[in-house]
Amino acid sequence: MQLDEYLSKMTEQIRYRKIRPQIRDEFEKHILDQQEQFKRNGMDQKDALKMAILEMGDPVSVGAMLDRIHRPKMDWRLLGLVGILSVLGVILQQLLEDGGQVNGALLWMSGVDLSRICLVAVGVGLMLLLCMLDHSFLSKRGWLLYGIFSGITAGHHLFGRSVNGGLGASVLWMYLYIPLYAGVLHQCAKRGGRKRMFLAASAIAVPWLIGGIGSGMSLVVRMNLLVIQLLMLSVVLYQKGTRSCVCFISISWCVGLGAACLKFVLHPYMRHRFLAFFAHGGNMDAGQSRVREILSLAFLRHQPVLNGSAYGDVTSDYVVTGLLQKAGCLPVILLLVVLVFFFIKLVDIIRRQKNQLGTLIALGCTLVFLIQTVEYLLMNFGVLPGMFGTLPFLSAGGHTTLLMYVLAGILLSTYRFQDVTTDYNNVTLVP
Amino acid sequence: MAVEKSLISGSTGMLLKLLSEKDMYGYEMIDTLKQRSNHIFELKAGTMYPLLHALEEQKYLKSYEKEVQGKVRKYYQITKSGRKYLKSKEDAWRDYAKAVEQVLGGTSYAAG
Repeated sequence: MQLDEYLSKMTEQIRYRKIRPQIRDEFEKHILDQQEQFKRNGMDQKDALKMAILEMGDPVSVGAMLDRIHRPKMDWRLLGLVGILSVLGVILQQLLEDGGQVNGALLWMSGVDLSRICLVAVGVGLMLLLCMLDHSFLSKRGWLLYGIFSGITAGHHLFGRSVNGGLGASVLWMYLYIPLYAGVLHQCAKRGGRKRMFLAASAIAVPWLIGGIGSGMSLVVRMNLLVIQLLMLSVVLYQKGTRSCVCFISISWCVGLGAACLKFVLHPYMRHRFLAFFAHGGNMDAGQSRVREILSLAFLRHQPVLNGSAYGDVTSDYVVTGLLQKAGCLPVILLLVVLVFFFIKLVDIIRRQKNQLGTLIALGCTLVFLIQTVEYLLMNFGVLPGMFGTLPFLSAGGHTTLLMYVLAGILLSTYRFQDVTTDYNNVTLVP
Repeated sequence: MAVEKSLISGSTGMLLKLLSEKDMYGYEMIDTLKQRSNHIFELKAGTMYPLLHALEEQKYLKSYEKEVQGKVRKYYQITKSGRKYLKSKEDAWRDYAKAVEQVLGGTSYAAG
């Protein structure tokens, strides 16, 4: 049997096509090593190769054994957690919208919120679709995708419909820069060279600049993007052994903060808002005042729970506060426990990544979830004013909900196709 | 004590043992095993690679590519959980070997 014939027959047994080139390469190198050994022992080239192939064993049974081992994987635990959060999200939004009252038991009011269920169904569908896609295309077409997305977001900022002076929740789609940036970083890191790494670092400025076009993106979203992208860059620099990465990150932080401060100084609206926050004891808007009142009622005065409709918009935007108001502390604690499990799972996904691209994507997406969640919880506990964060799969809003499912789908893809890319991690991010 | 089926072949334990000493690539493992066992254990590559991949799947090993003398090879490295698993395999093997010795010895040995 010829070498090519053996390898083809063996790899044909492996149904997971994407892993075939790696296995083929490993076996081919082994056969050639064995051939070299036989030649050293006095065999001629042709006989040595023939004997080396024979030593490998039957290609069909070897391929069948490998097929049993190499299967595309699904992270059922993450999927389960997303499922639980999705169901909780539907229930919570229904509860908060109806102004359901707690009198020893939760009461269901009016009909079921079909729009939320449809939104979740679309989100789950998107998530599963993305999960089936091999995420390595983000690296293969890194710059192209980054450029196309930048064009789309620039166009959106220039020509998008402005609502109350801003682009509304649609700016949250800018978080898709994170997985795209992972692709750019990985492509540059793989090809190497200072010039490429400098270009990768410069790419961080793109969403920042685009965010300043037209109606302008929320400064919070821009800062979040900056922080996450800098962290991803620092991981790559650290893996490359660049000692100056700490210095670079520190400088970048200063530049970023400096730019933010400049925006406050130059923009009168931002300046007044910032000053008002401190002038009123960290209390900036009516929503925040209402949240603090609810928390005070719930914890300090133990007054009966009021009908949610008296608080208007607050409860639908403030899932945790609304749940606290309507159902008490225990459901809130349970909700937070589920969220903790969710983040533990995300950290586990980062830890188990075998390659740099997967690590960067998993890290970036996890940081988006984390920053959004922390900001949202601080908002719900009255620490921050009403403009921060989303609670993954639980918050109201079409854009935020779909974005969370898209990021979850990309995360599932990194788990599913973790064996496909062959550039290996030399550094473990999480021990 | 029930004996695991894989103990009878012991290939998994031997591969882990080799890798606990240093990182190796596939051909190197077969060659080292052959030399150290005086040609008693001649593991076929078609048997070894599925074992290695299975161990990697179970996170007992991890792999990386390294260039040595102009050739890029896939090296295997034992993980922390791999070392724990190896220890359990070694303990199980010692119990097994002791039990066999007691039976084949034909006389009763003091326990422990």
